Amino acid sequence: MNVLAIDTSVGVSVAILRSNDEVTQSQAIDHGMQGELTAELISKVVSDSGLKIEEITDVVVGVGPGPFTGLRVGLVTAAVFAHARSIPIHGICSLDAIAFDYAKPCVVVTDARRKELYWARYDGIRTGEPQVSKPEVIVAQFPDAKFVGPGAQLYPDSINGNLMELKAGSLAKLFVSGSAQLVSVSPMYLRKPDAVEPTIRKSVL
Amino acid sequence: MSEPLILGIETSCDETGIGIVRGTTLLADEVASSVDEHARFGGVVPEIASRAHLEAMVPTIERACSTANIKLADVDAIAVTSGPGLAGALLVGVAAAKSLAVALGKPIYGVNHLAAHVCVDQLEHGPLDEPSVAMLVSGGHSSLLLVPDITQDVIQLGQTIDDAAGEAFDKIARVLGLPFPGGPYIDQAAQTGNPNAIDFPRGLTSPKDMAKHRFDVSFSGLKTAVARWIETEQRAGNSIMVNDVAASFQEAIVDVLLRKAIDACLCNDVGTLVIGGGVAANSRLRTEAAQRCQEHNIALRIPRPGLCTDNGAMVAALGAELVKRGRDASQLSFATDSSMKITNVVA
Ligand SMILES: [Zn+2]
Repeated sequence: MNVLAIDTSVGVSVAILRSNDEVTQSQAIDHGMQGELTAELISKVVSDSGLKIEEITDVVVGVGPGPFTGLRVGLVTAAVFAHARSIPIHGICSLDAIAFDYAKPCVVVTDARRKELYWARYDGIRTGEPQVSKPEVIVAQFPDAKFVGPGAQLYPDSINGNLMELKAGSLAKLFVSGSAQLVSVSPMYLRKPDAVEPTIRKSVL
Repeated sequence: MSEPLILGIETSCDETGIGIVRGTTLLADEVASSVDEHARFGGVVPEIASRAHLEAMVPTIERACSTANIKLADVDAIAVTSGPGLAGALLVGVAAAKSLAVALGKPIYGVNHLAAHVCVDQLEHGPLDEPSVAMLVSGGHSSLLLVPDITQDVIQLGQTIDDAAGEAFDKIARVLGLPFPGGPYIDQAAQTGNPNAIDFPRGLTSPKDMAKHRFDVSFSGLKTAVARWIETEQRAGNSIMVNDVAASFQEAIVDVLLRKAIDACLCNDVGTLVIGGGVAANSRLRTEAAQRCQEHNIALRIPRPGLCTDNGAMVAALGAELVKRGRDASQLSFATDSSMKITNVVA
C-alpha cells in the first residue's frame, strides 16, 4: 500500500507513505497558498519518494474542520486525483492526525478565525464530533485537559498548550494503522455560509 | 499529429462546467449549475457557489468523459479558467485541474475566461477570422475587444464604466418583479411588449461622451431611468405594462451595445464581429445584430445560446487552440486571478 495524504485545513501538508513505512512529506504553513502549492507539493513528494504516480494505491484526505476556501482545495485535489487514477479515497477528520501524533488524551485545537477555535477531544479515540467555539468556552468545559495543535497558543489567556503541526504524514500513518475513524469525503465546514448579503451577480457571461 | 484532445474546466461563477474538445470539434459539454440555490438571495452567493463546485466536480468530469466516450488518460492537456471571476469559485476549478494534470502527467493551461468566451465560437463556426472584433456581454462584464490572435494578442477597446449588461438585466428584472437571473425573463416578457413604448436613454452615445468613451458602455443611467419611470407611473396611479417596459429597456441596451460594436468594426476596419457571454443568448440582441451586421457587410458570429453562457467547452476550445499553436503551458504553481486582465490570455 502506497498512500498519498493531503491536508489543507491548516496551510498545506502532503505526504507519501510507502509500503515500507517510509514517509516523504512536504508542507507550507502559509495560509491562503493552498491553491498555488498543493499540486506542486504533491508532484514533489511523489518524485522525492521514488514512486511513480501509478504506484499510489490510496488517497487519504483531511476533511477539516478548517477555513473553507483552503479546505476545499485539499478535498477537490484529493477527490479528482483518486478519480483520475481510479484508486480509493478515504476521509479522516484533520484534527485526528494531531491526536495520533500526541498519542495521549488531549483536546486538539486549530485556528477557526473570528476569535474561535476548531476543536475535538481525544481519549484514545475522538470522543465526539469536532466543534467550533470560543477558547474560553472550551477551557471552561475541559479545565484540566491538555491542549495541543496549531491553535494551542493563539489565545494564551485562556489556552496555553503544546504547539503541534498538522502533518499529512500522520494522517497517512493513522490510516495505515487501521485505527482511523473514517468519515465521509466531504468538508467539515461546521459553519453555515454567510449568505445574508446578496452580492451582485458577477458571472460571466 | 492529430488534433489535440483537451478537457476544460470552468468554475468562475455558479456553473461547474466540464468540456471536452478535439481541436475545434465539441465532444462533451456538461454543466452543473447552482443557480437555484442563489435565486432566493437575488444574486450569486460566493460561498454557496464554491461549495457547489466542490460537490459537482468529480460527477461532472465523469459525465463529460462518458458523453465524449474518452478515458481521462487519453487527454493531451487540461485547460481551466484562472480568472476573472469569484476567487473562491475559481480556486476549486483550478485545484481540480492541477490535480488532474499531476495525476495524468499532462500540461495545464490556466486561461482567461473572456478569451474563452470568444474562442468557443470556433466549435460552432470554425477557425476565427484574425483580426475579429469581439463583444462579451454577461452578468460580470461588458467588453469590446480587438482580437488579432486569440492565443496571445487581445486588445481591450472598451468596457462598461459601471454595471455589466447582465447586471442591468438582473436589476431591472427585480424592479419589475421578475425572477433571478433576469435576462431570460426580460427577454420573454419583451416578446409581447412594444420596444418603442418608452424612449429610455442610450448611455455614452452623445458626441461629448463619444470623445472620451467611444467604445465604453454605461448602464447605471438606464437603470435609474427605468426605476424612475416606474415610480412616476405608480405614483400617478397607472398600472405598469411590464412587457412594454421590458421591451423598451431591452431595446435601449441592445441598441447601445450594437452601435458600439459596429463602430468598433468599422473604425478598425475589421470584417467580423463575434458576440459571446450570457447576454448573447438574448433573442433581441441576436436578431438585431444580424440585421445591423448585414447592413454594414460585417460577418456576424454568435455561438448557440448554450455555448454563450459559462461552460467548460469554451475553456477546452481555447486550450486546444493554445496547444495547436504551440503556446507555453502554465506553471503548476500559477495562482487564480479574480480580476485577470484580458491582455493575459494564459496564466
Ligand atoms: Zn462568462
